[in-house]
This record gives sequence, structure tokens and C-alpha cells, in this order.
Amino acid sequence: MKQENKIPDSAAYWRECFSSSRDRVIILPRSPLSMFIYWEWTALRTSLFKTGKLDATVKLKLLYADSNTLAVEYSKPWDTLKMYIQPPQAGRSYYALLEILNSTGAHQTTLTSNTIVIPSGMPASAAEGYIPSSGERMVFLPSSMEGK
Amino acid sequence: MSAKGSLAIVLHAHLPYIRHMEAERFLEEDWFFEAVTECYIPLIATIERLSAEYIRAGLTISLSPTLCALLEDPGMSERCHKYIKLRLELLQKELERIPHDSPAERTALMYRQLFEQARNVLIKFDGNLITAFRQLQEKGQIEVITTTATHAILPIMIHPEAVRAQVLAAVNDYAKRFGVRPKGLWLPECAFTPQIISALQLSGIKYIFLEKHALDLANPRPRNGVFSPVLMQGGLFAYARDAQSAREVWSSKYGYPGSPQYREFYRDLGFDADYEYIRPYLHADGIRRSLGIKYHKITGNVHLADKAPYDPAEAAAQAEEHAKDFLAKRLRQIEQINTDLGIRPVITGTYDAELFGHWWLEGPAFLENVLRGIRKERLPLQMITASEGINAGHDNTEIKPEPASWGEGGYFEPWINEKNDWIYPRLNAAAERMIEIANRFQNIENTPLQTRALNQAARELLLAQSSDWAFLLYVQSHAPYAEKRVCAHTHHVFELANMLSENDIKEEYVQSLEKQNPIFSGIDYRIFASPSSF
Repeated sequence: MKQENKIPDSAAYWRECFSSSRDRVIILPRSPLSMFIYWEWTALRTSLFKTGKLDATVKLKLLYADSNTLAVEYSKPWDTLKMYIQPPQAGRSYYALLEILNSTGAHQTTLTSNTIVIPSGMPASAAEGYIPSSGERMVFLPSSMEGK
Repeated sequence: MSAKGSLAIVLHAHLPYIRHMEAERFLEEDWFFEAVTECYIPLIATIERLSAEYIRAGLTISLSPTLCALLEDPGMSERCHKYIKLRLELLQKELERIPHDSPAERTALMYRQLFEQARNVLIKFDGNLITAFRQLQEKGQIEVITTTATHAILPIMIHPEAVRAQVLAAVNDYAKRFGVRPKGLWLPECAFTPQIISALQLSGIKYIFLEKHALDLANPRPRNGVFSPVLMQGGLFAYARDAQSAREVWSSKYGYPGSPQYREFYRDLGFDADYEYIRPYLHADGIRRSLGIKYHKITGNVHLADKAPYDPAEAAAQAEEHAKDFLAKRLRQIEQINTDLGIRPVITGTYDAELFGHWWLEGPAFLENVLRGIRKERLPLQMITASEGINAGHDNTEIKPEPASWGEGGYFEPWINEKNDWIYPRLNAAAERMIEIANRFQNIENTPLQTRALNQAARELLLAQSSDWAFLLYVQSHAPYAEKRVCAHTHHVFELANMLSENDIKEEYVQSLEKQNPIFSGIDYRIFASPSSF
């Protein structure tokens, strides 16, 4: 009978991104001024990077989804795995392409991310409305939380 | 006098699924006992008391499916009774210890009344507070709405199937529990992006709530601002929060709850009392923690040690004054809107339910005074539920709100940052795996065990997606617990998916998870299937 695997802890999670079930790049919206990007590799792809069969630098391209035009491009080591970046324009939709090159610098493959909408507003500190900080707003936390 | 405007007060009640029957006592379960005794029961008692006087509360109350599951769980109810019994026992000792006719005695008597009320209400509803909320809704006193299944933040979920499953699971759960389908859905943290609209429409939701700047920046900007419900794509309506009334009630710095006369939250008997005296009321680890019995008032900007004794009568008088002030400000606000916009506005006040009673002990009394004051003073102000607000009239111009939330910063940063970003590769991989098995198994005849494994995988994924884990990691409160929850639930999804794929399902494993997390009893894993594979 198959044995249950041990539950991993959080420390293992970014390591797991080197042995994912498939290569992927994901983007998530954070604010008008920030998005989060991460990518994962299969164990095979990881070994190709590690053995130099693939270029150690990958190209991350951020595109405007409404026009499929390039917004910004980064070159990053393949094992960067995550980035926080400022979108060039608030209020636009974006997706990302992650380009992998082979050891001679020729294009090998491209991963395409999901599409997100970046808000057009300003961070709330500059907004007219009332957005309290986490400290000011009394979000339910247990009374066992000690001190303010 | 006819109403010049309406007040729609929306209370959002939510706790994550913190049921741990595997242990005799579990620290995080205290969150539930505190919320039940300090917030939900005082709220129910307030509405019932008003109802007995023919004063209709007219509140909209959002109850999260995870909280509902806890509220109707017999095991949690039994533990809540034990919690109340222990507090009453401690209060009896306190009343013997503290000087007669002192402020502390008056405070202890107030707490005794609070816990006795909690015990009596639990007994009245046979331990199931859902019955209370259902009855209040059926009598037309309140409108109960839902939120996403486990309080997931929809705009940061990348799989449309997972977004739809969070909404559908909540709607189905509500229908099973309340006998009707919910009209409204509280977007957790008011987190919105246009990409989630179709999932809401497909689930039959009629209206949602947004943060103010989602409408301020909408295209086109609504004529009436946030002062009437707005129409969105596909016939969905949205309310947005009124910033002025939010600030008065919600802020500990600028609002009523920070007044010197009110009960100080952070000074607690659990830290003040002699250790041996309170040891029987602490958890097994023996660490001093709050016990929910607090004898001091906020006093002012002084050190905790210098806080003055709490006086329940003084605080009650203050709550009455604040209610009068709140109503006077709403009337001035409404008159101004009557003049400026020529409409009878709906002022939408949206609050966490747990603010009332937990942080702000006097919150339920404030609310009762507000509701009573409208009637007593015959004010030209009407309390309405959210559904009534839409039926009464709305702006017919279709608008497209902007992405926003009511979280810190106004967007999604509290749930994606350096302290919690590690959860997203795991959550998204688990969602992808769940969608994959839902698609694969939905059109074949499954054995009962396969169906159980699929349904449990769906439950585990929903539980992993709770926004609470990311938030607790962000504020570094109970972070190891939050980490464990994400790790365990996603692990269970992968384990179950692997067993299904390999046709090697261990029944005892499925059974143990069903026993551990018996939430969403009527769930159908097909809610995770891709639309194209139906």
C-alpha cells in the first residue's frame, strides 16, 4: 500500500518550485504600483539549467493584454523564482512571457502566464476614502494576541 | 415622518474553520468561543430584544460558511458551554475576591451577566446559533447573506474554476442551511476585480459590496457616488461603503471605540492575576493569555499599567451618547445629500461583526441605541436591508468598478507580500490538480469511495484557500498555525489526487480527513470542473 508522504513545511515550498509538475509562470495583482510574479520548473528543466544545457538567464517580458505589446522586459537568473515589480502603467491588463534560451542563446521555449487587471487608482494613503492601517482597523484577532 | 434617506448596516461575521476535535482543548478554538460569547450572542439578543418591542433591526448580516459550520457543530457547542462554565466559575471566584461595591465588582457582575446570557441563548437554540439567525431572517428582522466558501480573496485566484467553486460552494451551503438562495454575497475584504463578475452571476448572486474607491474610480463614475446601489455588468448590483460612517465606528484611533470610558482590550485578568490563581483557566502550556475579563478602561494615551478602573455605567452612558452623535451625523449627511444630489440616499455602513463586542465591548449597546434611537426620536431615517435597498431604487447606468479592497493600502498587498507569498505556488498547484481530477472523474461512474475522496479533496482545497492564513502570516499572529493549515490542506489535496490517479484510495485516510474536516457536507467536487468539460 502506498505510504502517505510527510506534510512539508513552508521552507520546502520554494524548493518545490524546482520540481514542479510543469513549467509555469504566474502573475498576481497587488496594487496599482505592484504585481507579484513567480515561476516554477520541472525537475527535468531544473537539471537542464543546472548542467548548462539551458542559458542560466531567462527573459521575463510583461505585455499589455489589450494590445499584446511589450510593456517591460527583465533578464533574470533562472532560479530567481519570484519578483515584485511595478507595472509600467496602472489601470491596464497584463500577462507575462518567460523565455528560455538554450546554451547557444537561441530561443528554446516560452511560457505564458495568466492575465491580470492592475487597478487604476492610487494607493489608499492618497485616496479620498477611509482605509485604516492593519493596526488601526480592529480586525478580529484572538485576545490571546499579546499587546498592540 | 417620511424617511429622507436610509441606513443599510451590514455586519460581516467570519471565522476560519478552527475546529480541532483531535485535541481536548485547542488554543485557536478560543477565537470561536470569544466571538460567540462577546459578539454573536449579544447581537442575537439585541435583535430579539428590539423585536419584542416591535423595533425591526433591518440589519444585513453576512455569515461565512466556515463560521456557520462552527456555529452548528455539536462538538463546538459543547466546548463553548465548557468555556462559558469555566468563565462563570472564575467570575464567581472573582466576586468573592474583589471588594464589595467597587468598580471591579460592577465589572465582574457585568461579565457574569454576559456569560449567563451566552449560556441561556445557547440553551434556547439547542447549541445551534444558525437556528437563531434563520428564525430572525424568517421573521423579517434581518437579511442573512453569504461570502465565499472559506473567505478566499477572489481577485488573487488565477483559476476561474476555483473562483466559481468558492462562490458556488458558499451559495449551495447557504441554500442547504437557510432553505433559500442568498441574494447577496460579501466579497471577503471587499476585494473585487471585474474578472470575478461572471462567477457571481452564474451563482445567482444579485448584489455585492465594494470599497469606496472601487466606485470613485469606476467608469463611468456613478452619479450618486456611494449613496445608492449601482448596476454592473449582467444585472449585478453593488453597494459601496460610506467612508464617513465607517471611520466613526471602525477606527480605534479616530472613532468611537477609542473613547477613554470604554473597556480597554489589552489589559486582562490573564496577565494581571496571580499565576496560581488563574492557572486552571489557561491552556495546557500554562502560558499567560487573555481570559476575556478586563477591569480597566481605555483611560487615554497611558501605559497599560496606568489604566483607570472600568465603570460599566459610565461606558453605557457613553455608548448612548455616541449613538445619538452617530444618528445626528447621519441626518446631517442625508440632508446634505438631499440638497447636493436631489436623492434619498442609502448610507451603507459595513463593518466586521466581531468589532461589536470583541474589540469594542460596548459595540452591541451602541448598535442597540442607534436602532432604538431611530424609532424613539421618530427620525426621518429608515433602516433597510441590502435587498430592500435595491428594490427601493438604484442608479440604472451600468458602471464598471475598479479593482479594490478594504484591506490596508486599499488593494491586495496584505495577502501577497514577503511574509506569505510562499503559499501561492502551492495553492495554485493544488487548485490545478483539483481541477484536473474534477475534469477527469466527472463524467465516469465513480465508486462511492472515489466520490468521497474527490469531495474531500474539494473541501481540503477550499480550506487551504482561506484568506485568514495569508493574513495571519502577514501580521505574524499565530503564524505557525496558519503555516500548518496551508501546508496540511494542500498536502491532503495532493495525496487524495495521487490516490485517485493511481486507483489506490486508502479508505482510512479519506475517513480520517472527513472526520477532521466535516465541512460542506453536501459538496460536489464537480464545482471545480472546467466549464468546457461539462
